[in-house]
Amino acid sequence: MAPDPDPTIDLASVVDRLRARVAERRAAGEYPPELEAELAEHAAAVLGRPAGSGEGAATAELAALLGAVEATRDLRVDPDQLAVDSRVPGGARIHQLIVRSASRLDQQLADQLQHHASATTSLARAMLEDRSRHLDDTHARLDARVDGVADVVASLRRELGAAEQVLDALVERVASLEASLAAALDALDARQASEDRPAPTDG
Amino acid sequence: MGLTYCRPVAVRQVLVGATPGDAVTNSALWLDDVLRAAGVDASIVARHRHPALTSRVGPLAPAGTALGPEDWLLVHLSIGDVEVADLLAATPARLALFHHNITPGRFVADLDPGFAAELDAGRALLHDLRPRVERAWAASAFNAAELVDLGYADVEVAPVVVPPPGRWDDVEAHPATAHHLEVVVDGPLVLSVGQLLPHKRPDLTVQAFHVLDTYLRPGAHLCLAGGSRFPAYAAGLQQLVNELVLDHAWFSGHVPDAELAALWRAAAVFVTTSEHEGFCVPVVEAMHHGVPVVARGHGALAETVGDAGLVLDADAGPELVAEALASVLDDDGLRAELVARGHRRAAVLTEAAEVGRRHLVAALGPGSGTA
Repeated sequence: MAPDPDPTIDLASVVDRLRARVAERRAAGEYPPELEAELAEHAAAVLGRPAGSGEGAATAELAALLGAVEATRDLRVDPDQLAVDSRVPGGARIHQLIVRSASRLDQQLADQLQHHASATTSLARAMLEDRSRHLDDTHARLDARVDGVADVVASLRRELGAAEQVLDALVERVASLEASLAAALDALDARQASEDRPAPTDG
Repeated sequence: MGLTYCRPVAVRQVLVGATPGDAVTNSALWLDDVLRAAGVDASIVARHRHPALTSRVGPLAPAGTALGPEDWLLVHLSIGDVEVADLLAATPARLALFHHNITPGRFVADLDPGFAAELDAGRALLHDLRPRVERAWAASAFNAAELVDLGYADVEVAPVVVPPPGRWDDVEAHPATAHHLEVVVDGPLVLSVGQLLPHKRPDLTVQAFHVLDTYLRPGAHLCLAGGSRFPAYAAGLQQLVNELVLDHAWFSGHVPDAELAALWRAAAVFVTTSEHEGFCVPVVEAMHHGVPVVARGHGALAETVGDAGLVLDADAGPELVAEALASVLDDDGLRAELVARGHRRAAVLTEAAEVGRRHLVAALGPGSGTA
């Protein structure tokens, strides 16, 4: 058996403490700034997106609806399911007899409805197949576009490879020029030093 | 000498939709049991009937014609429906109303404008029925206040959506689900029970779990149990879970009683971030199962939870909800207190529901009509 509640625990104070703790965590930087606003924005963006409303989802939804239509294939009139209530003593029995005698007509009506439902199902199935074909076509077109983009990327990669080779050659050439320039400068310095030396005098 | 025929008063409950597990349907079924036990000529009819309920719930069509001016038609209004409105307009029976509340259409207007219009039509019908309704009940004071605002008088609060005593006693936890939860769920389980509908704000529960899992209590698990009327909305919620990389969060969809029992028995805390509730039966189920409750104070939630759970500000964000969840998970003293208070609150509400059902029977049953 559960213990008796403790009247000294004030749940309103507990909630106050929870509020204060949230404020402390925010002040201490335990949560990123604007965490709640960002979460709310994220949720609104995701839920606002037409999730599941793409072409494929729409087709799946149509297929599910078609399944629901097909589930009514065996439409039967069940006299036991028809209400035969009556306020008059014995009235229910009379209603029951009427329902039973009318059930054949009801079944004929149900059969006609069934023919109509079958035609509707065929139409829905044809529309669904047509839609699926259309989606397949779209998929093929998208595949072709992706292949095209892949070709362009490969071509760019090749060009980039060639450009890298040219760049490497340029780097080597610059290094070589830098080395030549350094040698020339060294030679120039040596020459300048010998010219600055004082000429020997007669004694 | 003429023959005088005396017959009992008939009480016919009218629902727009009858679905297994639905709170409105359940309350009608339980009330039907009590009415029949009292010898009342009771029945239930609905515009839309789930195949599993056709033995208990009849079709709407002939419902009004077989009633007389001394009989009662008890309407459980949850949404607008032309055929139900026509039936109510045509029936010679006395009208009684049970107000479970109707979700405002604005919550689903973007997802399904047609459904939103039906919801708003239900509210309009609530207004239009007022002159004809002789008796009115509401599941909560919050709902009763709505009726009073519409001009209804003498509205009685009767939480008949709360199950009769022993409702869960015979429900054995689904063995495979219980085993799965024991093996796979290696941390505390945060459970949310309710349909995936925008006004119940499952997205906010997911955000709060993200804060809990990332900053406060890594290793917890979240299960959102409940069906969905809008596949696109459910897909969006799943996408949100994916994008937040919440590996320990999952949607169970609608679960039968046995699986729900397994979830209740494994849960460490129940959370609802709903923005509109006329009562919220899962709160009472959580309390019955010894699961502490964390809720935001919208609609009737503060009233239903009472002093037996953490009721946060109506505008509480993910950080405060997560803080409350962490507190319940980590503070053994608080947790034990909430469990004890929950058991007591569930018992109080269960008794109130029984009293409410008895009042309904007394008001509509034998002696309420004329022979």
